[in-house]
Amino acid sequence: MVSKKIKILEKIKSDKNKQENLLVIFITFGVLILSLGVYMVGNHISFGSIILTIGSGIFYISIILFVFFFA
Amino acid sequence: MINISQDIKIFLTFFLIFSFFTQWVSWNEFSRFALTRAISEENVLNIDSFYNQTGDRSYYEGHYYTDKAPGMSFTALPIYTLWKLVYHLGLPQLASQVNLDGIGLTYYVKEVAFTYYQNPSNFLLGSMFLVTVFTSSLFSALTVLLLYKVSKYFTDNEKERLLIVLIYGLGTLAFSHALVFTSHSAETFFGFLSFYLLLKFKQNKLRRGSLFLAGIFLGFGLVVGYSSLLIGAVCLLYLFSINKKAIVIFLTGFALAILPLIIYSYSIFGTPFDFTGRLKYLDTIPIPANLEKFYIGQDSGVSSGLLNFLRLTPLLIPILSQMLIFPSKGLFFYHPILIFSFIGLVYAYKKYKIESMLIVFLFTLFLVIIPFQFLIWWGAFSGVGLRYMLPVVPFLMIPLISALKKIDLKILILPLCFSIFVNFLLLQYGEDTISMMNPSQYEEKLKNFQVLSDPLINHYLPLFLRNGPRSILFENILLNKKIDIRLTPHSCGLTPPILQKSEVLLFTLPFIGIIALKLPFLSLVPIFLVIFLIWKKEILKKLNLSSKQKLLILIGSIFIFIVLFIRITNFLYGENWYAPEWHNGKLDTGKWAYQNSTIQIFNKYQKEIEKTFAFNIEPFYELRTLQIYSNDKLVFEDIIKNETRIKKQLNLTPGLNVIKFYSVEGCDIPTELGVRDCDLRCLSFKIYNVQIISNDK
Repeated sequence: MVSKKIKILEKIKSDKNKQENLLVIFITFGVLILSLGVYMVGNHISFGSIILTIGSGIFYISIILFVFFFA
Repeated sequence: MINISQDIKIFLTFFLIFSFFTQWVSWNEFSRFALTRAISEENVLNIDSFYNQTGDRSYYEGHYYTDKAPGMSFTALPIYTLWKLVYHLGLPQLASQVNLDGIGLTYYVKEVAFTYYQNPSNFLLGSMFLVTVFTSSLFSALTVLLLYKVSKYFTDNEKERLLIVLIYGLGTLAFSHALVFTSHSAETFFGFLSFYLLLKFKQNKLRRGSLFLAGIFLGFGLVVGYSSLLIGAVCLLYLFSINKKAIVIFLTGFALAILPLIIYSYSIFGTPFDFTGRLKYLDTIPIPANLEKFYIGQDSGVSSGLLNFLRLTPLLIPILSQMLIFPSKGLFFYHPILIFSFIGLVYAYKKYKIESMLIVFLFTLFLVIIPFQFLIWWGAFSGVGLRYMLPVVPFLMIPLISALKKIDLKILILPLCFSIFVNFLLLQYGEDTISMMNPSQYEEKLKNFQVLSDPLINHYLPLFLRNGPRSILFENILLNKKIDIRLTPHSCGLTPPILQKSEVLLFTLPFIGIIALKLPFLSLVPIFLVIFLIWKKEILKKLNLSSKQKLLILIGSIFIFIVLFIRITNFLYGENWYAPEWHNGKLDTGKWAYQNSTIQIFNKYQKEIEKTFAFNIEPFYELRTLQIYSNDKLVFEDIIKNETRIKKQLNLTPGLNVIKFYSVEGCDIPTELGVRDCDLRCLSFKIYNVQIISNDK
């Protein structure tokens, strides 16, 4: 019974770690896409503003999720 | 254990309170918003299309740029774009609207022309509200939540944790700056989030890889605003004390996150380090005359900073006095609860040595650096203006937890109530008295440790007593059916210090009269309702009331609401009146009318009656022809040359009668006529001493 409980807890922990890793990837990519967007807008390349918006959006949502669920 | 429900309740409470009181007060917001719009609408980093709306700008090689760090504008971008999509999909007929800004009115500051847009489209007004709410208000509410999470490392007492959250959210600088679209709340959030992750790392509750995130958050804090550098120094020292090897991971995250700032700077200025052109290319520096003497020209870059430092040194103590103690800006004057943070430091030091030392170091760092800002401008308009100290405030909450443990709540209650009261008291039209002082008076007062200004007594308190705490959003929804949060002194009279109307018509009741809703202090009602609805379970559990008692309280509350906020009358001001004028703490009894303004008179009898309508009237600037219409029927016409008392018999039909004042020659804008420097209202007549006299008396 106890070992079953431990297994469930370990599973929850491992799932949480996976989700956290995913969020770290999202936050990192968010910043990178945002930087690419700034570069494109700064150099008058089409769709720069869209890239910047997407990057900023990913970063923004990931931070909120991070604060609520992983901080 | 994660307490999601409690977390969400805390977040929602503060997020809704902050959102409800949002304001759009200065060039600062216009400057950041201009960059958001420029990127979204034109795919450029310059703000050439919007430069005339703000004085906070840089000018470089024929283009205008915001002089702010760009992070806040980047963060607002997805919100602005999403709102644009929703708005245009929901209301496709407005998608083709060419001029979003509406009619522009020109005003001058130090002979530089600026434009204020009187009636921007609903899309823009909505954008201003949403970008403020989903950046500043949201980041502030998240900081409150973070503080709640941090507090569990310092106390297990849930009441103390909730109290610290209440103190930070409502009793410190955090409140004033959660309401405006400036960078301070976001800088604070990112800095404190980074510190929080380091704290977790120290408690072995964070994987080493997550330090990378702490670095990213701090780095992005720098993209948003430059105070993150100071917090960065403290975070580095902290991490150094925990695990020296982990610094590399932290710095890697930091370096990655400042990429947007470096690319932004390089794309515009060809250098990765003059992030906003502040060092060389500031365009119209609105330095008040009394500060010009202390400021070295903008062309000398770093050397000007050095010279400023030398000039500042003898002024450091006088400036710090104004910053911390005096009513001019005083951090501890307006928020005395923060004094207990320093008492708490003494207790906290025994158990949390490094954290306590770092908090003292951070506070000192801010005290040394921030006074430089006051050589250019003392800051005002949102709160009393000590905005640059905000990032250090959540750190001061940590020792305050220790103080709560040791000091009797009875001693804390008075400074706490005052700190919260002051924040609600400051919800008024902003002031900037220090900038208006003459140079010699300024220097003399500063050097002699005299109070530079006393905005609390001379400005905010009289306005508060008349208006109550102002929610501009709430006012405009009730009065103009618009989502408009503008309360900017640069509107030159268009967003006034006094409520546009103190009462609004709710409905009429036959045989009784007009049922009017009184607006002063009304903004507190939705706030109490929101707090009650979110914390209903806890409040009812604590009070442990029977059904009968609950019913009695409900009836009592409705009764109190009616007594305080409902009035029965037979006369109300209707459409197109400007707010009463407010000069040096005194209210003008008259009201200026737009071209066609109305008043509403109620006849409670079931037959037509005759009443005498009497009022004083004066024309603006030149003689004007006044026409009075009673229910769209012309009943009076005359040329008004100067101040006159008019008496007119009116036949009032049963129920509501609308009386219209119409200026045949239209209205005029004082600034365009050269009569006043900054008055963009369109004035026709001023009316006062209105009386409705029964003829049978």
